[in-house]
Amino acid sequence: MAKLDVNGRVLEVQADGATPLLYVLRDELGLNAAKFGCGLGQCGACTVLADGEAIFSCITPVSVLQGRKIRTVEGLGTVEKPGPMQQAFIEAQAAQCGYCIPGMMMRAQALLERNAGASENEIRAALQPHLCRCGTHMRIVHAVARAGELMRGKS
Amino acid sequence: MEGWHAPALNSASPSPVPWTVETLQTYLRHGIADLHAQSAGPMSEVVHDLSQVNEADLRALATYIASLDTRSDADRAKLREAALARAGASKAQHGNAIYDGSCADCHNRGRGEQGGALELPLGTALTIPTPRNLATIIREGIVPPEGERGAWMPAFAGALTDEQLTELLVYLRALSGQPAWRDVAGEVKKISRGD
Repeated sequence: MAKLDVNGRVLEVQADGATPLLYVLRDELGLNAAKFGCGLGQCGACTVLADGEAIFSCITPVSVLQGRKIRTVEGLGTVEKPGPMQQAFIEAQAAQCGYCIPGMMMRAQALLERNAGASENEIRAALQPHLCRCGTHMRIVHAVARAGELMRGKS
Repeated sequence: MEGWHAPALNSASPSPVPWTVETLQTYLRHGIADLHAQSAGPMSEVVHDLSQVNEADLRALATYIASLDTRSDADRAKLREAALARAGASKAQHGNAIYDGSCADCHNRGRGEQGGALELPLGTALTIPTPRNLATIIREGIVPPEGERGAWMPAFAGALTDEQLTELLVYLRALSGQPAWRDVAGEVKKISRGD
Protein backbone atom coordinates (compact mmCIF):
# COMPACT_ATOMS: atom_id res chain seq x y z
CA MET A 1 0.00 0.00 0.00
CA ALA A 2 1.42 3.36 -1.02
CA LYS A 3 1.27 6.53 1.05
CA LEU A 4 0.88 9.82 -0.75
CA ASP A 5 1.27 13.32 0.64
CA VAL A 6 -1.42 15.30 -1.19
CA ASN A 7 -2.07 18.95 -0.34
CA GLY A 8 -0.48 18.47 3.07
CA ARG A 9 -2.44 15.34 4.01
CA VAL A 10 -0.81 11.91 4.08
CA LEU A 11 -3.22 9.43 2.53
CA GLU A 12 -3.01 5.68 2.08
CA VAL A 13 -3.86 4.50 -1.40
CA GLN A 14 -4.77 1.01 -2.57
CA ALA A 15 -3.69 1.35 -6.18
CA ASP A 16 -0.78 -0.66 -7.57
CA GLY A 17 2.53 1.26 -7.66
CA ALA A 18 2.56 1.45 -11.45
CA THR A 19 -0.81 3.28 -11.48
CA PRO A 20 -0.49 6.83 -12.78
CA LEU A 21 -1.08 9.44 -10.09
CA LEU A 22 -3.97 10.98 -12.05
CA TYR A 23 -6.19 7.91 -11.64
CA VAL A 24 -5.43 7.75 -7.93
CA LEU A 25 -6.26 11.44 -7.46
CA ARG A 26 -9.53 11.25 -9.36
CA ASP A 27 -10.81 7.73 -8.74
CA GLU A 28 -9.52 6.95 -5.28
CA LEU A 29 -9.11 10.31 -3.55
CA GLY A 30 -11.97 12.17 -5.24
CA LEU A 31 -9.71 15.09 -6.20
CA ASN A 32 -11.09 15.95 -9.61
CA ALA A 33 -9.21 19.15 -10.46
CA ALA A 34 -6.53 17.42 -12.53
CA LYS A 35 -8.08 16.26 -15.82
CA PHE A 36 -7.56 13.34 -18.17
CA GLY A 37 -6.84 14.82 -21.59
CA CYS A 38 -4.63 12.50 -23.61
CA GLY A 39 -3.10 10.07 -21.13
CA LEU A 40 0.22 10.49 -22.93
CA GLY A 41 1.74 13.57 -21.30
CA GLN A 42 1.04 15.63 -24.41
CA CYS A 43 -1.74 18.05 -23.45
CA GLY A 44 -0.96 19.22 -19.90
CA ALA A 45 -4.50 18.92 -18.47
CA CYS A 46 -3.32 16.48 -15.77
CA THR A 47 -0.47 18.68 -14.47
CA VAL A 48 0.11 18.79 -10.70
CA LEU A 49 3.12 19.66 -8.55
CA ALA A 50 5.57 17.24 -6.91
CA ASP A 51 7.94 19.05 -4.55
CA GLY A 52 7.17 22.25 -6.43
CA GLU A 53 7.95 20.81 -9.89
CA ALA A 54 5.18 20.57 -12.48
CA ILE A 55 4.62 16.95 -13.55
CA PHE A 56 2.17 15.19 -15.84
CA SER A 57 0.18 13.06 -13.41
CA CYS A 58 -1.14 10.81 -16.21
CA ILE A 59 2.33 9.37 -16.84
CA THR A 60 3.81 9.47 -13.35
CA PRO A 61 3.31 6.23 -11.42
CA VAL A 62 2.55 6.60 -7.71
CA SER A 63 5.56 4.38 -6.93
CA VAL A 64 7.94 7.23 -7.77
CA LEU A 65 6.12 9.78 -5.59
CA GLN A 66 6.67 8.26 -2.15
CA GLY A 67 7.67 10.95 0.32
CA ARG A 68 7.18 13.81 -2.14
CA LYS A 69 4.73 16.64 -1.60
CA ILE A 70 2.00 16.57 -4.23
CA ARG A 71 -0.16 19.62 -4.80
CA THR A 72 -3.29 20.02 -6.89
CA VAL A 73 -5.63 22.96 -7.53
CA GLU A 74 -7.60 21.81 -4.47
CA GLY A 75 -4.53 22.75 -2.43
CA LEU A 76 -4.30 26.31 -3.78
CA GLY A 77 -7.32 27.60 -1.86
CA THR A 78 -11.04 27.08 -1.27
CA VAL A 79 -14.24 28.38 -2.83
CA GLU A 80 -14.62 30.76 0.12
CA LYS A 81 -10.96 31.72 0.19
CA PRO A 82 -9.37 31.28 -3.23
CA GLY A 83 -5.58 31.45 -3.46
CA PRO A 84 -3.89 34.11 -5.62
CA MET A 85 -3.80 31.86 -8.70
CA GLN A 86 -7.48 31.02 -8.38
CA GLN A 87 -8.42 34.64 -7.61
CA ALA A 88 -6.55 35.82 -10.71
CA PHE A 89 -8.22 33.28 -13.01
CA ILE A 90 -11.63 34.37 -11.68
CA GLU A 91 -10.80 38.06 -12.15
CA ALA A 92 -9.52 37.50 -15.68
CA GLN A 93 -12.43 35.15 -16.51
CA ALA A 94 -9.78 32.98 -18.09
CA ALA A 95 -11.77 29.76 -18.34
CA GLN A 96 -14.05 28.95 -21.23
CA CYS A 97 -14.72 25.21 -21.15
CA GLY A 98 -12.18 25.06 -18.32
CA TYR A 99 -10.77 21.63 -19.07
CA CYS A 100 -7.15 22.73 -19.51
CA ILE A 101 -7.24 25.34 -16.75
CA PRO A 102 -6.24 23.29 -13.65
CA GLY A 103 -3.11 22.07 -15.46
CA MET A 104 -2.27 25.60 -16.62
CA MET A 105 -2.76 26.88 -13.06
CA MET A 106 -0.42 24.35 -11.51
CA ARG A 107 2.39 24.90 -14.03
CA ALA A 108 1.94 28.65 -13.57
CA GLN A 109 2.02 28.17 -9.79
CA ALA A 110 5.38 26.38 -10.09
CA LEU A 111 6.72 29.22 -12.25
CA LEU A 112 5.52 32.02 -9.95
CA GLU A 113 6.76 30.30 -6.80
CA ARG A 114 10.22 30.49 -8.34
CA ASN A 115 9.68 33.96 -9.76
CA ALA A 116 6.50 35.88 -8.96
CA GLY A 117 7.67 38.62 -11.31
CA ALA A 118 7.87 36.38 -14.40
CA SER A 119 7.55 38.31 -17.65
CA GLU A 120 4.89 37.61 -20.28
CA ASN A 121 7.49 35.81 -22.39
CA GLU A 122 8.52 33.65 -19.45
CA ILE A 123 4.87 32.81 -18.77
CA ARG A 124 4.30 31.86 -22.41
CA ALA A 125 7.43 29.72 -22.48
CA ALA A 126 6.52 27.96 -19.23
CA LEU A 127 3.00 27.14 -20.44
CA GLN A 128 4.26 25.77 -23.76
CA PRO A 129 3.48 22.12 -22.83
CA HIS A 130 -0.23 22.98 -22.35
CA LEU A 131 -2.93 22.87 -25.00
CA CYS A 132 -6.18 24.88 -24.91
CA ARG A 133 -8.70 24.20 -27.65
CA CYS A 134 -11.06 27.05 -26.75
CA GLY A 135 -8.43 29.62 -27.55
CA THR A 136 -8.43 31.48 -24.25
CA HIS A 137 -4.64 31.79 -24.28
CA MET A 138 -4.57 35.58 -24.00
CA ARG A 139 -6.73 35.59 -20.88
CA ILE A 140 -4.74 32.75 -19.38
CA VAL A 141 -1.50 34.70 -19.81
CA HIS A 142 -3.14 37.77 -18.27
CA ALA A 143 -4.45 35.71 -15.37
CA VAL A 144 -1.01 34.29 -14.61
CA ALA A 145 0.56 37.75 -14.72
CA ARG A 146 -2.19 38.96 -12.37
CA ALA A 147 -1.56 36.03 -10.02
CA GLY A 148 2.08 37.14 -9.89
CA GLU A 149 0.92 40.62 -8.85
CA LEU A 150 -1.29 39.18 -6.12
CA MET A 151 1.60 37.04 -4.86
CA ARG A 152 3.81 40.12 -4.74
CA GLY A 153 1.18 41.82 -2.59
CA LYS A 154 -0.34 44.17 -5.18
CA SER A 155 -4.09 44.57 -4.83
CA MET B 1 28.49 -10.20 20.60
CA GLU B 2 26.44 -7.69 22.60
CA GLY B 3 23.37 -8.99 20.76
CA TRP B 4 25.01 -8.68 17.35
CA HIS B 5 26.25 -11.44 15.07
CA ALA B 6 29.90 -10.93 14.04
CA PRO B 7 30.25 -12.22 10.44
CA ALA B 8 33.20 -14.47 9.59
CA LEU B 9 36.32 -12.84 8.12
CA ASN B 10 37.94 -16.01 6.77
CA SER B 11 36.88 -18.02 3.70
CA ALA B 12 33.41 -18.39 5.26
CA SER B 13 32.88 -14.61 4.94
CA PRO B 14 29.25 -14.00 3.93
CA SER B 15 29.98 -10.59 2.38
CA PRO B 16 28.22 -10.63 -1.04
CA VAL B 17 31.22 -8.84 -2.57
CA PRO B 18 34.41 -10.38 -1.11
CA TRP B 19 36.67 -7.98 0.80
CA THR B 20 40.07 -6.82 -0.46
CA VAL B 21 42.98 -5.18 1.38
CA GLU B 22 41.91 -1.81 -0.07
CA THR B 23 38.22 -2.06 0.85
CA LEU B 24 39.09 -3.36 4.32
CA GLN B 25 41.46 -0.48 4.92
CA THR B 26 38.82 2.03 3.81
CA TYR B 27 36.19 0.31 5.95
CA LEU B 28 38.36 0.25 9.07
CA ARG B 29 39.16 3.94 8.59
CA HIS B 30 35.71 5.27 7.69
CA GLY B 31 33.28 2.54 8.77
CA ILE B 32 32.00 2.35 5.22
CA ALA B 33 33.40 1.17 1.88
CA ASP B 34 31.98 1.00 -1.64
CA LEU B 35 29.89 -2.11 -2.33
CA HIS B 36 29.76 -3.02 1.37
CA ALA B 37 27.30 -2.41 4.18
CA GLN B 38 28.45 0.15 6.72
CA SER B 39 29.63 -0.69 10.23
CA ALA B 40 27.00 -1.05 12.95
CA GLY B 41 26.73 -2.16 16.58
CA PRO B 42 30.02 -2.80 18.39
CA MET B 43 31.90 -2.51 15.08
CA SER B 44 31.16 1.22 15.05
CA GLU B 45 33.10 1.52 18.32
CA VAL B 46 35.99 -0.42 16.79
CA VAL B 47 36.13 1.99 13.86
CA HIS B 48 36.00 4.89 16.27
CA ASP B 49 38.89 3.48 18.32
CA LEU B 50 40.90 2.81 15.15
CA SER B 51 40.83 6.53 14.38
CA GLN B 52 43.90 6.73 16.65
CA VAL B 53 45.81 4.20 14.51
CA ASN B 54 48.05 5.45 11.70
CA GLU B 55 47.57 4.49 8.05
CA ALA B 56 50.54 2.04 7.93
CA ASP B 57 49.24 0.06 10.92
CA LEU B 58 45.74 0.07 9.47
CA ARG B 59 47.15 -1.25 6.20
CA ALA B 60 48.92 -4.05 8.08
CA LEU B 61 45.69 -4.94 9.86
CA ALA B 62 43.72 -4.95 6.59
CA THR B 63 46.41 -7.10 4.94
CA TYR B 64 46.22 -9.63 7.76
CA ILE B 65 42.40 -9.81 7.72
CA ALA B 66 42.35 -10.15 3.93
CA SER B 67 44.83 -13.04 4.17
CA LEU B 68 42.34 -15.03 6.26
CA ASP B 69 40.15 -15.41 3.19
CA THR B 70 41.97 -18.15 1.24
CA ARG B 71 39.42 -18.55 -1.55
CA SER B 72 40.97 -18.27 -5.04
CA ASP B 73 40.93 -14.94 -6.87
CA ALA B 74 38.76 -16.52 -9.56
CA ASP B 75 36.17 -17.71 -7.04
CA ARG B 76 36.16 -14.33 -5.34
CA ALA B 77 35.73 -12.53 -8.67
CA LYS B 78 32.81 -14.81 -9.55
CA LEU B 79 31.06 -13.99 -6.27
CA ARG B 80 31.62 -10.30 -6.83
CA GLU B 81 30.18 -10.38 -10.37
CA ALA B 82 27.17 -12.38 -9.21
CA ALA B 83 26.47 -9.93 -6.37
CA LEU B 84 26.73 -6.94 -8.70
CA ALA B 85 24.43 -8.66 -11.20
CA ARG B 86 21.84 -9.21 -8.45
CA ALA B 87 22.09 -5.55 -7.46
CA GLY B 88 21.60 -4.57 -11.11
CA ALA B 89 18.61 -6.89 -11.46
CA SER B 90 16.91 -5.33 -8.45
CA LYS B 91 17.46 -1.85 -9.90
CA ALA B 92 16.12 -3.05 -13.23
CA GLN B 93 13.01 -4.38 -11.51
CA HIS B 94 12.24 -0.95 -10.06
CA GLY B 95 13.05 0.52 -13.47
CA ASN B 96 10.57 -1.85 -15.04
CA ALA B 97 7.79 -0.51 -12.78
CA ILE B 98 8.70 3.07 -13.74
CA TYR B 99 8.70 2.08 -17.42
CA ASP B 100 5.22 0.58 -17.02
CA GLY B 101 3.86 3.77 -15.45
CA SER B 102 5.72 6.42 -17.43
CA CYS B 103 6.80 5.07 -20.81
CA ALA B 104 4.76 2.02 -21.78
CA ASP B 105 1.61 3.83 -22.93
CA CYS B 106 3.44 5.36 -25.90
CA HIS B 107 6.47 3.14 -26.39
CA ASN B 108 4.61 -0.17 -26.29
CA ARG B 109 2.38 1.02 -29.15
CA GLY B 110 5.16 1.55 -31.65
CA ARG B 111 5.27 4.26 -34.30
CA GLY B 112 2.50 2.67 -36.37
CA GLU B 113 -0.29 3.72 -34.03
CA GLN B 114 -1.60 7.15 -33.14
CA GLY B 115 0.22 8.53 -30.11
CA GLY B 116 2.72 5.72 -30.44
CA ALA B 117 6.48 6.01 -30.16
CA LEU B 118 9.46 3.81 -31.02
CA GLU B 119 9.65 0.47 -29.21
CA LEU B 120 12.66 1.07 -27.02
CA PRO B 121 14.60 -2.13 -27.79
CA LEU B 122 15.00 -0.50 -31.23
CA GLY B 123 16.46 2.72 -29.80
CA THR B 124 20.09 3.63 -30.52
CA ALA B 125 20.51 5.59 -27.28
CA LEU B 126 20.21 2.30 -25.39
CA THR B 127 23.07 0.69 -27.30
CA ILE B 128 25.86 3.29 -27.09
CA PRO B 129 28.64 3.05 -24.46
CA THR B 130 27.25 5.83 -22.22
CA PRO B 131 23.78 6.45 -20.69
CA ARG B 132 24.21 10.18 -21.33
CA ASN B 133 22.02 10.56 -24.42
CA LEU B 134 19.19 8.46 -23.04
CA ALA B 135 19.29 10.21 -19.66
CA THR B 136 19.17 13.62 -21.33
CA ILE B 137 16.24 12.65 -23.56
CA ILE B 138 14.27 11.34 -20.57
CA ARG B 139 15.06 14.38 -18.43
CA GLU B 140 14.42 17.05 -21.06
CA GLY B 141 11.99 15.29 -23.39
CA ILE B 142 11.93 15.97 -27.11
CA VAL B 143 10.64 19.40 -28.05
CA PRO B 144 10.42 20.65 -31.64
CA PRO B 145 11.85 24.13 -32.36
CA GLU B 146 9.45 26.90 -31.39
CA GLY B 147 6.51 27.20 -33.74
CA GLU B 148 7.44 24.06 -35.68
CA ARG B 149 5.80 20.67 -35.89
CA GLY B 150 7.73 17.58 -34.93
CA ALA B 151 8.05 14.57 -32.72
CA TRP B 152 7.34 15.36 -29.09
CA MET B 153 8.08 13.62 -25.83
CA PRO B 154 7.35 14.93 -22.33
CA ALA B 155 10.23 15.85 -20.00
CA PHE B 156 10.64 13.77 -16.85
CA ALA B 157 13.25 15.83 -14.98
CA GLY B 158 10.68 16.98 -12.41
CA ALA B 159 8.87 13.67 -12.13
CA LEU B 160 11.80 11.28 -11.58
CA THR B 161 14.48 11.64 -8.93
CA ASP B 162 18.10 10.91 -9.91
CA GLU B 163 17.77 7.52 -8.27
CA GLN B 164 14.58 6.67 -10.16
CA LEU B 165 16.10 7.81 -13.45
CA THR B 166 19.09 5.56 -12.71
CA GLU B 167 16.80 2.57 -12.16
CA LEU B 168 14.95 3.30 -15.38
CA LEU B 169 18.23 3.59 -17.34
CA VAL B 170 19.51 0.27 -15.95
CA TYR B 171 16.26 -1.39 -17.00
CA LEU B 172 16.29 0.15 -20.48
CA ARG B 173 19.93 -0.78 -21.06
CA ALA B 174 19.06 -4.41 -20.38
CA LEU B 175 16.51 -4.22 -23.23
CA SER B 176 19.36 -3.48 -25.67
CA GLY B 177 21.14 -6.76 -25.04
CA GLN B 178 24.39 -4.86 -24.39
CA PRO B 179 26.48 -5.27 -21.23
CA ALA B 180 25.39 -3.04 -18.32
CA TRP B 181 26.62 0.58 -18.23
CA ARG B 182 29.16 1.43 -15.54
CA ASP B 183 28.29 3.93 -12.82
CA VAL B 184 24.91 5.00 -14.18
CA ALA B 185 24.15 6.76 -10.87
CA GLY B 186 27.31 8.86 -11.17
CA GLU B 187 26.52 9.86 -14.77
CA VAL B 188 22.96 10.82 -13.81
CA LYS B 189 24.23 12.95 -10.95
CA LYS B 190 26.62 14.76 -13.31
CA ILE B 191 23.88 15.39 -15.87
CA SER B 192 21.42 16.71 -13.30
CA ARG B 193 24.15 19.05 -11.99
CA GLY B 194 24.62 20.24 -15.56
CA ASP B 195 28.18 18.88 -16.03
